[in-house]
Amino acid sequence: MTVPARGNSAATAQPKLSITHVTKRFISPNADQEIVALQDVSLQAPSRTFICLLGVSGCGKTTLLNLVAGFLDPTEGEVRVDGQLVTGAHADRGVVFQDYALFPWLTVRLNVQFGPRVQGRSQAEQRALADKYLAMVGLSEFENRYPHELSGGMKQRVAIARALANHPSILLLDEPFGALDAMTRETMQDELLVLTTKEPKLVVFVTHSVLEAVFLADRIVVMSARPGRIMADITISLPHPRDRTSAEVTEYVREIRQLIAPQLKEEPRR
Amino acid sequence: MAQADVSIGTTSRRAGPRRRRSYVELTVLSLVAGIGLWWAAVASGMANPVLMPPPGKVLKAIIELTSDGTLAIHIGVSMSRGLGGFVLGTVIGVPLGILIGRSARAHAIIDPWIQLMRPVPPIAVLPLVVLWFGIGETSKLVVVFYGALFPILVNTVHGVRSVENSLIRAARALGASERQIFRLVVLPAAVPSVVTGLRLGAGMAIFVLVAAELLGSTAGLGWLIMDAREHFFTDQIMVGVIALGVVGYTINRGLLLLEHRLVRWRPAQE
Repeated sequence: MTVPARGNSAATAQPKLSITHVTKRFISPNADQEIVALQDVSLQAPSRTFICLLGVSGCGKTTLLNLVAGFLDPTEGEVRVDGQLVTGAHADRGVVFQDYALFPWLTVRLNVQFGPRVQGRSQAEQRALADKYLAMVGLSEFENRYPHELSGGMKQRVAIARALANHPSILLLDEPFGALDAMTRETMQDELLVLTTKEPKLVVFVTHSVLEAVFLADRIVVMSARPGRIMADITISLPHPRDRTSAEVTEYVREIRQLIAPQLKEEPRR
Repeated sequence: MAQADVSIGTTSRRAGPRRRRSYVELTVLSLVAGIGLWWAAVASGMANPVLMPPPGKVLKAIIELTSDGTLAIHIGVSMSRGLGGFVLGTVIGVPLGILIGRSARAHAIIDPWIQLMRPVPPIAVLPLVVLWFGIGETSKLVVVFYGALFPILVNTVHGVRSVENSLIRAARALGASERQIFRLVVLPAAVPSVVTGLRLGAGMAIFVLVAAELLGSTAGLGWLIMDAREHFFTDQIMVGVIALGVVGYTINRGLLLLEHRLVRWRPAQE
């Protein structure tokens, strides 16, 4: 099956996501120092695009994601979704976290039903949505398990199903596969592409893996650290499914690595 | 070399799933040996039988006090006092703890009092409580309540405050309102900590109750021990002590069972 690259063809006058001149400063725990996490970042994105935010740790990519999610407010500038100013979290923007953030006291099924439940959907609707999305991530058999009984990959599948069950138009993922082993990671990448092809939406995916970004993204936004800025905005015009070992993919990876290389030297030890 | 092999063997075994071997024989043997030593100490003349009655005599006293209903009455009196103070401590401690855990303002107002009063052993306030409320039931209820309150309160506050931020964010991104987050995330997340507080509070309640009964009362296990001392019935003192041990053990087991039921979702290792 060949999936055409989803791109700017559907671009309308109003972008789905619009980030304009956003600066985010934090006061460090020592209180006397100001940390500039993001400096004058602007980014427009249409619907139905898979964007990867790529950069070394400390480049503010997670901060940018949290601003879009509405967990943080920008110090300067603004974030708009469908022209509306983002002032807080919203069910239309689903979030998948690196540490899964599943509710440990709820079963797999009830975790997936959480969104529809707080939205006031009927019991029957909640159950139907959970059925659908659990089947989609292949975890129907595990509906009555508790999160601690699952492997990392399974937990993240539940978290993705939970986010999708709310039918968000934007899906935000913060290094979702960062804690998984390499094999599971690749399987999850394949599955995520299938899911986002079935239900196209704007996907913003944070990662520090160049190969992961090239494999997944329609567009890679490369960020630099201290202060966090957008360094490059690269369109990956390769059809899906992509071959991780193909010459084209390797060439993209090589180019982006070269772009990031100076950053790696500057990164302070932790 | 052989030694290195052995140590590798033990590490890998420990890393694997923990097998629950039951050592019932050892437990029974330990109890029998303890009672045997006790008996031998008295029989050999090492211990004065007047101060340290042999097991047989204590068993006889247990049978006597049980058959004429004395023990049951005193256990009943102590239990109802302890339960009263404990329930009062729970009914006030849990909601107050939730309030302090949720509201920074309430925390600023109430927490200094908790921090100042918590280190004071409840027995130290007993004389004052007796002066205020008389030597009757009210003062015992108050002092048991005082003892049970702090473990319950402090653990509830801890439970409410230590909810993982990512869980709250996840709920928010799924569309939960602040009220729903409190009811569906904060409260369930605090349950294990609250139940631990209840268990510690129950232990404290018994501790304080017996001290209060020893100092002044006309019934209860503490009184039974004190009254037996007046008449130099060391066997009855032992009966009182054993009864306290059994009662305390039973209550703790019961609360552990409750804990197990309420937090079934937690991994077994914790």
